[in-house]
Amino acid sequence: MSDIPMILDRVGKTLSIDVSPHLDGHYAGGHVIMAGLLTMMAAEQFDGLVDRLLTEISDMRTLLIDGGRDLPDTRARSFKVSAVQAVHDNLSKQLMSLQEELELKDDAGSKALNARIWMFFKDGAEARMPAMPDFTEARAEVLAELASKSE
Amino acid sequence: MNFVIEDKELAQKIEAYLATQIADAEGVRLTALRRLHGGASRETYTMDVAYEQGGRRVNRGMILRRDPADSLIDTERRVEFAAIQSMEGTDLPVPKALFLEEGSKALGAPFFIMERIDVGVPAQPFRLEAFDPHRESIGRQVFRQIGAIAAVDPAGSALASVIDTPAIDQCWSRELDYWESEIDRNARKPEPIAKAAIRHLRRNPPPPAQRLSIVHGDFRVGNFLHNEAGRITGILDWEMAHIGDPYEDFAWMTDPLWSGGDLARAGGLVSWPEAIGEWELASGCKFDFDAFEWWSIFASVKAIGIWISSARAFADGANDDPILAWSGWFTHAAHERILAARLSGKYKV
Repeated sequence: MSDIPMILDRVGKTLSIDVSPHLDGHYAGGHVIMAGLLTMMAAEQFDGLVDRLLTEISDMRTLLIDGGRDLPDTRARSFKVSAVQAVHDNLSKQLMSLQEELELKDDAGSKALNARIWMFFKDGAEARMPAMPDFTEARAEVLAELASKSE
Repeated sequence: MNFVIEDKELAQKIEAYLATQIADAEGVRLTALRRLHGGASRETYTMDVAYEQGGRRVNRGMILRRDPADSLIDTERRVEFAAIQSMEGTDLPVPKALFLEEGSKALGAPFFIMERIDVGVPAQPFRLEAFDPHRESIGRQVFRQIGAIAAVDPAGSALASVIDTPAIDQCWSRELDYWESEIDRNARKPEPIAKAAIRHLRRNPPPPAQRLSIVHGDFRVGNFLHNEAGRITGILDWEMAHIGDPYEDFAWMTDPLWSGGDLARAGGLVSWPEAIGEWELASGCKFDFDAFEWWSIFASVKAIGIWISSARAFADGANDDPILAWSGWFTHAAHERILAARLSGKYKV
């Protein structure tokens, strides 16, 4: 069985909803609920992660080239998440540098490109946002405590 | 609470410590000790303490906050202790600060103990409907209390004796410098949105603070107790308290993450005019939109700084609490989305 998102989702729900009420103590129950929620989030993100990273890499390359950056071949050497993430991080740093330069300029072209970078940030942030955990299914009193102590 | 001693060795140490601290107390013993989940910046225990004093039997609920190996927020327990002490003599529902121990001899790590507030429950920040039908009443109290904290004169306060007081025109830059350094120190990947937001804030500074105030630093839904009948019974989690600009607490409370997606109401609780009115009346400050706008964007930057620190602590194995991983993932993503949505609109051409 290799349906990883399904497995993670089922395990997460089991921990948060079924197992946690049987644990003694606020501390143990809280830990297991939180671990279950994280597992469900991993399930949700698993399938689309590489696709999202590759889309963002393509978008960043376009922005950097339009900003006059001379990009060497930054393609990932493999499709391992770690390899793709490393390429993504490298381009992110270059994009940050480009944006800092654009912010110091007052011409229309620079402002337009900076606006495009901000739209890229906005779209990327939307895509990265995990779904809100379903707090209604788990033990309300423990989750309330978790949320109240989220720092 | 249940009469359970979850950690007998710790209970014995606490009993020995309290016996030396409570004047004229005899036979100090814990009848309950239970660790609470969360409180990632401190290990938090609730305990029932019984003793005899002057021929009278006394039972008291107390909260122990002990430093873990690493914490989500890198603060000293004496700051939180002093902040709570600074509220004594006000009408604010704040637990009484009892004992502070900065050494590790008594319980293996620094800690402090405060009275437990037994009336009230914490609210879940993502389910503000739990306040209904008292949501607006709670909202008015929230902004009145934030204003009341701002009205406490920091000069000569217990808090001022343990932390620096900034110049009135440097409140914003001190906070921004601090949180940028936290982001730079703890980031495990590039943070283009947070860094762009920080540059935006530096290019567009706020007006100087109207006055120096005690800032709670983390006043939001989830960090106060309510009695489920419309009354706030306890203001908790003072570990991020400092002296600064009174707008900081107002802006933090109204950050979109704590507002349950209801931006039409301040903090998702009460109309903006009512919130502003309560705050102005209690604080004596005048609401200024430009100042609020700056502190509002700053609130999301500060949040990202907290979430990045939490992710670092978890990734490094310094703290295994999974809530740190959740903060470093879910809430970090939420605040990136909030900042990108707000600032992309400002730079649209």
